[in-house]
Amino acid sequence: MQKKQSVNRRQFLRMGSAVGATAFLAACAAPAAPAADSGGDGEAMAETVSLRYQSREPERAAGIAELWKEFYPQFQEANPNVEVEFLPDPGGANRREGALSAMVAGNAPDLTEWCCSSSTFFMQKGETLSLQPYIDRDAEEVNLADYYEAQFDPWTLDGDIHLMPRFTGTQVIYFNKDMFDEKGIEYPSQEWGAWNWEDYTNLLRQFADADAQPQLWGTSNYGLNANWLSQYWIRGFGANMVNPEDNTHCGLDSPEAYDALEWMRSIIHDEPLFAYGADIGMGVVELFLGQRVALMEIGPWNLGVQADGATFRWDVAPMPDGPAGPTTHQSVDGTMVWDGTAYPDESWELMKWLTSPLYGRLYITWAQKQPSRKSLLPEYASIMRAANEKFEDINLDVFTDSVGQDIGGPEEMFAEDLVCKNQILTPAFDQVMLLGEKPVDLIVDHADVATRFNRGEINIEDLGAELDKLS
Amino acid sequence: MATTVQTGTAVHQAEQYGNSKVAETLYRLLLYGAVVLGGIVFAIPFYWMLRTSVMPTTQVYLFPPEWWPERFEWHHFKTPFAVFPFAKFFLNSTFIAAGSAIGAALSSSVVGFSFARLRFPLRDVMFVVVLATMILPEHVRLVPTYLLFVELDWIGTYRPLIIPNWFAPAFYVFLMRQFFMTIPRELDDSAMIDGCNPIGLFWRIHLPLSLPALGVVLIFMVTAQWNDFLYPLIYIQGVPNYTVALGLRLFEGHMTNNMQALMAASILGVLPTIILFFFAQRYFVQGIVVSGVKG
Amino acid sequence: MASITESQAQRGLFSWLRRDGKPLRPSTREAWYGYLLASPWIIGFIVFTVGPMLASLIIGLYRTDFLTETTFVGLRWYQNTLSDSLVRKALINTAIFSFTVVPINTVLALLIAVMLNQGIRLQSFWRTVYYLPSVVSGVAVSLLWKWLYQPDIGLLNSILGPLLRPFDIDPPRWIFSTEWALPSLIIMAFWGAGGAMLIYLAGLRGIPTSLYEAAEIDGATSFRRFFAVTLPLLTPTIFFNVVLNIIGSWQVFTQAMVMTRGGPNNATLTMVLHIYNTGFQNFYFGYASAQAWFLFIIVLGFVVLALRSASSWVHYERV
Repeated sequence: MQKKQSVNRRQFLRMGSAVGATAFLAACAAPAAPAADSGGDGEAMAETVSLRYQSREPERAAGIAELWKEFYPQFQEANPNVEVEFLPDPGGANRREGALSAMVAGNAPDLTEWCCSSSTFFMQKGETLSLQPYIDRDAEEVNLADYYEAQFDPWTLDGDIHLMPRFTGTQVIYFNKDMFDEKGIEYPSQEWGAWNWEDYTNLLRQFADADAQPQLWGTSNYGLNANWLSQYWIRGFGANMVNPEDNTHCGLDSPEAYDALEWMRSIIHDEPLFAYGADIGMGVVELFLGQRVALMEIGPWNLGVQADGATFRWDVAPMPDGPAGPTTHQSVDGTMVWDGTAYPDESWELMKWLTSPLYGRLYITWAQKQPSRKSLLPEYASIMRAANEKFEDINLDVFTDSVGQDIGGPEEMFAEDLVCKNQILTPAFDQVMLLGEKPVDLIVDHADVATRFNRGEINIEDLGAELDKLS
Repeated sequence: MATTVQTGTAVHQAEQYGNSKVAETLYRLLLYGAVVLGGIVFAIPFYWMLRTSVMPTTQVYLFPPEWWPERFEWHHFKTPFAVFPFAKFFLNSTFIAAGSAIGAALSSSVVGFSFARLRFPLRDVMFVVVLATMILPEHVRLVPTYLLFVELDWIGTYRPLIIPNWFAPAFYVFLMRQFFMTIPRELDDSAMIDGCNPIGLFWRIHLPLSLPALGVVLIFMVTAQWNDFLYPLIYIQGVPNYTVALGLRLFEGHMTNNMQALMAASILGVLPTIILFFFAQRYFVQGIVVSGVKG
Repeated sequence: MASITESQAQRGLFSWLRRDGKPLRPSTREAWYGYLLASPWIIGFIVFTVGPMLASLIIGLYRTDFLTETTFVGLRWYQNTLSDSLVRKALINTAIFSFTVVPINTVLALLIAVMLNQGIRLQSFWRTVYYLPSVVSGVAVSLLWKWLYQPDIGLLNSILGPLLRPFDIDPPRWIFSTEWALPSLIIMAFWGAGGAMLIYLAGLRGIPTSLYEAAEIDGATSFRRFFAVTLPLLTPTIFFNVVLNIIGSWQVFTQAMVMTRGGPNNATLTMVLHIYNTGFQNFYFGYASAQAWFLFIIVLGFVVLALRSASSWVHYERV
């Protein structure tokens, strides 16, 4: 039996560092008074509250500076006692690591924006303030009914909402009109639910040419890997990577999931119709811009790059349905209030402003972000076109229609999300999808290990051995 | 004394042995062939980098790849400055690199001298510990060190990046120690006879002789600090305070589909270290001990 | 310092240590100077290294993500590290990397240094050409090489492709295949040989002219001269570089992280990357600390081995 001692994390870390560093500090002078535990000067009773807001946007790129210039004075006018320091995205793969250090050290920003699994991660780790009391208090302003159905799924813990969305990007099909015209092929339909995975497969066959120099494929995405990039297809086939009822259960053991995985594997390796980006060392965008694929699956975040880089005419279309109906991915981009903030009320005030229709409009104007609020969806296309004439001929309603019709869902997260995706499922997806060395059964076997790991039946240090047994 | 030692001897040799004119020429030819060929292999990735940075977007992803840009688009070099305060990044990096390099050179030469020349209990144990610290994977002490700097209230300043280097980083202690080991003991003895204490010995004999090694420390430290990514990421707050490496990574995150601008930014980021090497290398590789013995 | 009179300086900085006014024994005096001059390192070591290290050693006794509850697990992580087959995989990959990169890079760097030290024309130009790759930042190099390894429009295959296709051989897919991924990282490491080359150059310049003159009088050929004079005198420098290379190669991380993230199918999973994944990806900091200590001991072992062997092949001026 393990002795279980629950220690507060700061106590624990103090304890650890006291053994070494802190004890020796006297040796190098610096009688530094321990930095206060609280975020601000308690006795000063400061009149102005300073909030730190960690954005996921860089400071000067993508018009964020202009956005902030327009937004912040309005916020300040309404909240003269609140100052906000805008922290631009530090970038890179170590972002979560930096945030963790700050949280451990007790000086994390009051608000932090996250994408994908990181948002759920920090919620599961208890670092996010539950927003539910505030949402209930300000229910009218927040208006949860203004968001699509599954929006809050990744951010709900024990029935309480912990993050608010900052935008919602829909995965759609981009297609190269010139390549369609050249082959005299009809463009895909502009209505969700009007075509399916079989139509899609047949369409891809007309563009793919394995013998061409260079090789041509039909389509691509960032890579059908063990994350949201394959999840939307799996859902389209009527299965889930993570069981929605039980996040310790990996749903890839169902027959529907098998069919989905087998279809993905076959369009990558049997024909091949789908360019596995990582396999050929080019991103999906490069392939599309280089006219090596006639279609690609990607979100609205790529619109600017596409408009600037394309040397051909292009448009967007809805994702094809799977056997189980319409499917797509809605991006998980949300903002959290740190549990350790000294100013929860003021942070919530800022959060409300950041999720307001006012901010949503500015976000479209300056950063081309697809709004999360249904009430703003009708304005998306017109604001986008006013900001950039290149979108004049692009059917931007394709993106927003899906949100309006509650189609698609966010990334599915495991209880032990990072280990399951990175360490357990990715090697299997590598071997099946990327390398084409193993049958889909390998993923199913790994799925079982993921379930058992989630349920604590396998220790982290035994994972490698468990997986070795399978290959 | 001839400046280039080996050339001198090679020429002497050529004169001594008959028929060696031809051999010498052949040797030179082979030598130059190898140097040029190797040079091309080493330089070609840079060429590819440069080529990519000036190519039009439409040409970069063509197959088969083209070696020469159909036209030169230098504006990719402006993109980094348009998107971020890149010039400020350069100033910040310079400050950090210079501050660290001076501290590292001063402290590590003193410590290296002590390990190389002075006898004291536990010295050899300590030197093994120096080696040991060099091999400690950085990630082990990441969070504990961070906590330490939080206690010192150094977060958000450049101090966590600079001050530790004033306490003789192990790598440079090792480097200086190895260098001092090669200085002949006879020099010490003569100085000792002159009545020098160890500090005088260090100051009058070893420090002047170690200028080239100090140059190595300076250059290595500047380059290391210039390229460091992890520590600035954790300790620096606010984009205006960013270093070039942080700026590059920031840029990379938002330019994934702009290979030209990314390569242009990388070239800009690397340029200062290249220029530094250009200016420092002559002094750097000049005869080390020779000049010391004669002087 | 100003207050120290001539005679005090003569007697030494530490004469006050003896109340009876007699001079310190020379060895005691030397020891005090030794500690004084070593003190920057001693202080720095305690504050910036040993403290954090001890802290991480203790962290290795816990199951902690620093965020949720922390559980004492005793020696569990330390005991289980070796039997973890992912750790073994990472160890094997790193060992292969190290044992190929270190010897080849040493020979390569030495070769280039000797070549460039022959008084060739445009010397500084060539030096720069060979040295440049090693000054470029790790991230930039990784991005560049990822671009070079691109299987159909990358630099390497655009040269290899036309050479191999006539023989019906497809060029390797480099970092995008399990067989070639690790060799790709190894090949890329050779490009950084310039760093060591520069140090060898400094070392070559440090060899006293008198020794060459002596060898010349003995009538040694340039080949013999290299092995009898140059190489032995360069051994301290080579030793220094080999040790550094061992350390560096066991910590290989940036390339694996930026270019392949350890894939495909863990083909480029290195030890530090695995530690990083365990700690900062999967948030098992206790286990990561234990693994880091394990790696630390392995590398320490190799370095001690190198130090032990030093007496048999490294030629120092007598200490």
